[in-house]
Amino acid sequence: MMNDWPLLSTIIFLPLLGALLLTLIRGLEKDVALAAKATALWVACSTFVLTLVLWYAFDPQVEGFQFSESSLWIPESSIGYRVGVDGVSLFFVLLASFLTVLCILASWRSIEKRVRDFMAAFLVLESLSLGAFLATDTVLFYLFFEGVLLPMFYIIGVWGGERRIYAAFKFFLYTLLGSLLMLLSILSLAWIGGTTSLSELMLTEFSPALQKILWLGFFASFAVKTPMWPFHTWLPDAHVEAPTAGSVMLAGLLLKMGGYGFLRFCLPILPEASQFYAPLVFALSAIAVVYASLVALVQTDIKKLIAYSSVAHMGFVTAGLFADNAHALSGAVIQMISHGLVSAALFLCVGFLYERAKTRDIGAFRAVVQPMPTYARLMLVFTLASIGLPGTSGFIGEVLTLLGVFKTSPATAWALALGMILGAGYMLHLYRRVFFGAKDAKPANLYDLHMREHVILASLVLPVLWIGLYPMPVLRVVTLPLLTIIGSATP
Amino acid sequence: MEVLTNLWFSLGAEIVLACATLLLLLLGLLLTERHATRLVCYLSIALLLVLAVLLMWSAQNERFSDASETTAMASLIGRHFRLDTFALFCKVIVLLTTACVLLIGQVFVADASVSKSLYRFEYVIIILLATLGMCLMVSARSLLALYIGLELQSLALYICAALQRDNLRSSEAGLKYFMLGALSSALLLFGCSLLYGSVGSIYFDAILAAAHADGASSLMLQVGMVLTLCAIAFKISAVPFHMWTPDVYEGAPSSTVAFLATASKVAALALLMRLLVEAFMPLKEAWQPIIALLALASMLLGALATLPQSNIKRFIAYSAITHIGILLIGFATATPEGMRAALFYLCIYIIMSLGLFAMLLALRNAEQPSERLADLSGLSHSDPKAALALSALMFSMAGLPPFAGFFAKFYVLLAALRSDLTWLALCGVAASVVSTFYYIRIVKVMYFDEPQEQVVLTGRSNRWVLYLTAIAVALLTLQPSTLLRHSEQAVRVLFAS
Repeated sequence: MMNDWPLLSTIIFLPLLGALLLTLIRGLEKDVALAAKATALWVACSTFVLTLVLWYAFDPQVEGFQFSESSLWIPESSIGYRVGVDGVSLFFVLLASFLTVLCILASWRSIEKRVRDFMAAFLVLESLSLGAFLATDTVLFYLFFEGVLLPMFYIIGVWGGERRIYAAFKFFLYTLLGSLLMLLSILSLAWIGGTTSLSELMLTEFSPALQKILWLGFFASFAVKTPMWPFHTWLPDAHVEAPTAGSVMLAGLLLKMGGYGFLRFCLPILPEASQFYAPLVFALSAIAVVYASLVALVQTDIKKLIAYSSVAHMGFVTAGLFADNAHALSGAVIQMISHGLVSAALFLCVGFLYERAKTRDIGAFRAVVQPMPTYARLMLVFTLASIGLPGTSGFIGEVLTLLGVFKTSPATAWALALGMILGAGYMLHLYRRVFFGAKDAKPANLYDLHMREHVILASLVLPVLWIGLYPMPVLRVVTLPLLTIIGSATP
Repeated sequence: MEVLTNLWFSLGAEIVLACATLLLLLLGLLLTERHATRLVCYLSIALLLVLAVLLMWSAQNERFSDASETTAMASLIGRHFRLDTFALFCKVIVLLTTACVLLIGQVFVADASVSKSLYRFEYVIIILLATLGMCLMVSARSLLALYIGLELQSLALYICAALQRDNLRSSEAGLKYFMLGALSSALLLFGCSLLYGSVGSIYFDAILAAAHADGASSLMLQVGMVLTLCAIAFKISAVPFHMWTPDVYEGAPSSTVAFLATASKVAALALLMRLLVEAFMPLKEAWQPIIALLALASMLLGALATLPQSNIKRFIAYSAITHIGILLIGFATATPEGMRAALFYLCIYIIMSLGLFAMLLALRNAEQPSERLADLSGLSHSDPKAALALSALMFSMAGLPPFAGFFAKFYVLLAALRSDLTWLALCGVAASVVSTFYYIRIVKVMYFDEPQEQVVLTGRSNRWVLYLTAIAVALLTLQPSTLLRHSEQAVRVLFAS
């Protein structure tokens, strides 16, 4: 029977199993590298197929978690191994498994040293992030959420750029401090609520005074992870130093864990506190959008520019999450998915360019469109999607968010709108400087995308346009759980 | 006959251990030196393991735990020593730890480049005597028994620290340890005499009764308690009684340090727990702030002082101080839950430390034992498996999920929150962020730095201990409740009396 099979556990632990399998490969270094890449790709593809099966079998009409598995893990503290999927986590799960496949493909050539370790780290990372999105137990969530730091630490530290050690430590410690404060909140929830199960905690009422304290613990963690201004300073460093695939995972998945966390913990469990602190979040989001966009305008490193654009886009997400209406919430979720796809694609684009030119300095490029026309076309799609052009996923996310936020806080909405204009400014400015210009292209040794790279980018264009043109399949699935969250958010 | 039975039930393991130690001493004298050391060492490991298994078996035995214990407790010897579930639990840990330390110490003491004076069978005998002292400590129920146990293990440890006679640092460490240890003994004796003067009895249950009756008003009792606690704080190297720790750890032979940092900490912490719960519980308003301050100071000083260390042994010393600090949070709650968390933390800490020492004792740079952190650079190239195992241990030490160290910290923090010690929990969080920095720095040295020297790990058994501890901290996450349940049972006995 399909229904008895623990599908979610299979999805979570298949990559981990694959990582263990990788350690068994023996032989010459070259053979090991190839075998490791092939194995990792197969495992990632199988996981992706499984998540597609999950999507197919998922019933959007059902309220609450589906495919739930639950067993007591530490009976003394009623901590359970509880996993489940709802409309919100479904798309993050799809995103995670999809991006992992692309990352492994993208690292096929660019990673030369310790290939096996790299692939193993990636599979572990996939496993842990899938776990974080699927966990419906607070302690289990924390375990996965913080566990993600370990493989990412290795990925930045071993395969990163020049200042990789600084970046890895900053990333690790910054995020850890936030996480530990969240741990205290989780512990308090467990102790006062008497359970660590999310669905039971959602039904528990906590006094507003307590909520306000606990909310800050969660906020510390998710604000760093998202990242919100002024807790974003780790992000540019980590992005710039991480290898391409690492940046993709960071932007595509790890940042989403922050927004997802707000959606899973703060809004449904601590609704009064969320309302109380909403102005704070609005203010920080507004500042983040405008400030990060302005900073992005003056960047000379392409990767850093995109990193700052991530901060700006996540500002939309946090504002939308706390606007307390269905439009803004679904806008925020779509914006997260869209940003996961678009920023991943942009980082991949930068990575491909870097592999050719060995530099990311904007000034070093000119008229790249001439040697790389296909690349320029694809990059244009993602640039426009990042700006939020109608017809791309970015548009849906930003407009819905804006619509919703306008109802709650018009001032914030104005700031967000300003951010959209600035976003068009820095992205188009970047595109113009890199791709157009004088007749002769700079640097000289550029060549167009080859098959593998083409496939990677093209496969990202599809969902971006699809969500942009026909978002109903996504909206239909996410709306029901979001309404539940809103329902508990408005007393 | 009844006297013998009671004696056996209270002190069976100790009697066997003492007799066997004397036999091993005889055996060592009869054999030639080269054979003696090896044989005595392996026989001792076997002895310790057998004793541990017997104790575990007797813990399962219903008949043993109920009826005989009540009669034994009433007897003379039973008032001094008590073999309850708590003592059993701690004794098993002490015995297993000692066996493991002897095993991983082999490769170090037998190394010709270290010192000739280390590789003698007397070293094993002294360790066994110290273990005997520890076993007495964990079941001590009177001030006299406490003092005998504590001094037996301390004297043996002083000798162990100074064992490398031809080495100036070792002698210095031994002397330093002895001087400061003697000071703490004096404090302990003074404290005991005040307690006796105030209560008129040396038994814990009598102290408990007296503290119940008029503990809050009796200054003499309270001063006696504080002095006793100070002496034990010295043994567990809690700040501000930690001064000796880094120097002794650095100077003493690594094999001794492995023993000092694991088994002796178990015994001293078990003693502290029993003393606090069984004798001083009514005075908890008085000792809670003291323990909380010890915890706070140890965490903060330990975390900050570890940062600049470049010597592995000094590093271990300061990181041990941090761990003791976090562990003392559990003590400071004065609840069964907090004590359980502390005991659980202790078990996991011991596992991690044993792995770390297995690595340290086996680490060789150009055939010479190495103590520099920088020597670990490139271990991920020369020995990937060991590097992976060591990084698992480091992550676990830092308390990161999904390793067992996380659950250790988790329960301590939970207990602190439940007892309204939120400020202490917050300080614990701060300390663990700082300490994470230096644990992941070791990972960085192994994985991110370019290898500079030819560093290898020798000794197959050490390698296995390293792997097994790493696997243990990874797998304990899957099933932490067994160990948790055992620690809970152990602690419940203390609170029941």
